[in-house]
Amino acid sequence: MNDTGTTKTTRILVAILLMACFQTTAVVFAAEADLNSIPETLRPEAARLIEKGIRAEDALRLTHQLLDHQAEQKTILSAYQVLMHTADNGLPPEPVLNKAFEGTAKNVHPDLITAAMQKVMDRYQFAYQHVREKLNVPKNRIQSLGNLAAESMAAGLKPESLQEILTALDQRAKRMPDDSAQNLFDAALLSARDMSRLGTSHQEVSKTLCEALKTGMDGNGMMRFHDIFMNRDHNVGGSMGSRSAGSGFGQGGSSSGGGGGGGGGRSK
Amino acid sequence: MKRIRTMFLLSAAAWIVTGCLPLPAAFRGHEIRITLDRPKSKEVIFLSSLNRYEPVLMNKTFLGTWEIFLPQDKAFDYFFRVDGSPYIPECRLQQTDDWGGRQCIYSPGIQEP
Repeated sequence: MNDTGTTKTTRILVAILLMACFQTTAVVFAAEADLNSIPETLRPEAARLIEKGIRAEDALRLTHQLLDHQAEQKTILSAYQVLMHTADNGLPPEPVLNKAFEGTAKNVHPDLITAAMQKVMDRYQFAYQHVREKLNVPKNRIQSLGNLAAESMAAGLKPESLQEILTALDQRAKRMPDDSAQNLFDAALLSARDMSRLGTSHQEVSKTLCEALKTGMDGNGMMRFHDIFMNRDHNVGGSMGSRSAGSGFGQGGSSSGGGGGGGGGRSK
Repeated sequence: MKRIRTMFLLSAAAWIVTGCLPLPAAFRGHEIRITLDRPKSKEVIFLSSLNRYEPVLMNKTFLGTWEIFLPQDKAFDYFFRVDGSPYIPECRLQQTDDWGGRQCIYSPGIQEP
């Protein structure tokens, strides 16, 4: 390469580096500047929340939305506390934050939003703890299995049913090679979640899965069961199965292409 | 050689810069179309966990159906706001909303009827 080429290349590289630095600095300054947009009494706790790993954008948005809903400062501080406990306990903050935003979008009273955030955190704490205690899984698998268990509970699976399923899974896993057991954990908790989401009672979910495990079902068998269950006539299994209101889904192409598929409302 | 190198660096710079920008819907691959039949409604807003429940105005088709296109490969919870009031449709996959109501769920790979 000649001198001119080297100079040009260097200039371009420097420009890229400067752009990256500028972007980073801008983000840091933006977060600091935005903290000034919330009441002074909330700033130290909001800053702590950000330090715990909650994105500044989310912390500020939550604060502004709660203030817009006439939340008292003690309610906002309670919401911060829930999020900090969530982070301290190694639980994912996303579902708790989403619950808060769902609440403000539904115009729920701020005190009830905070209570619901606590409920979400409790579910995740219970799920993670029991997955960790009952199943022999590597650390890096606890999150995905814990999330499935917590989502099952959000869909109606009672704690006692979850415990029954985890116990049955543990018993079954003892008679399997480790990698097969991991597949089975995924498939069973996915089935528990999706059956619950379909409206199947928690007793039925527990009974069905525990019986399948007792008969020696493996991960592949459980996955087949899941797929069959999810694609069968949903009026058979679930009390919430039938759709009657005018909303629908369809397979789209792209938004510019007009979408194609169904939706259109009535689906039964 | 010099030209190729410059082109490569410029492409890299463009890639870094545009990587931060949202892509237009048409570039997002397959999408799902969500609809709501409310021909008499003046405004239907879609709210979902995809964007932290930021309101998104749905489009009204000439038949009076409201529609929105979303990525097909992401799970999300959702509801509608019809003329200012929250509306939760009947849906196949659901969960509690922790306030005595329920929440609809879209899960990739699970067929809506």
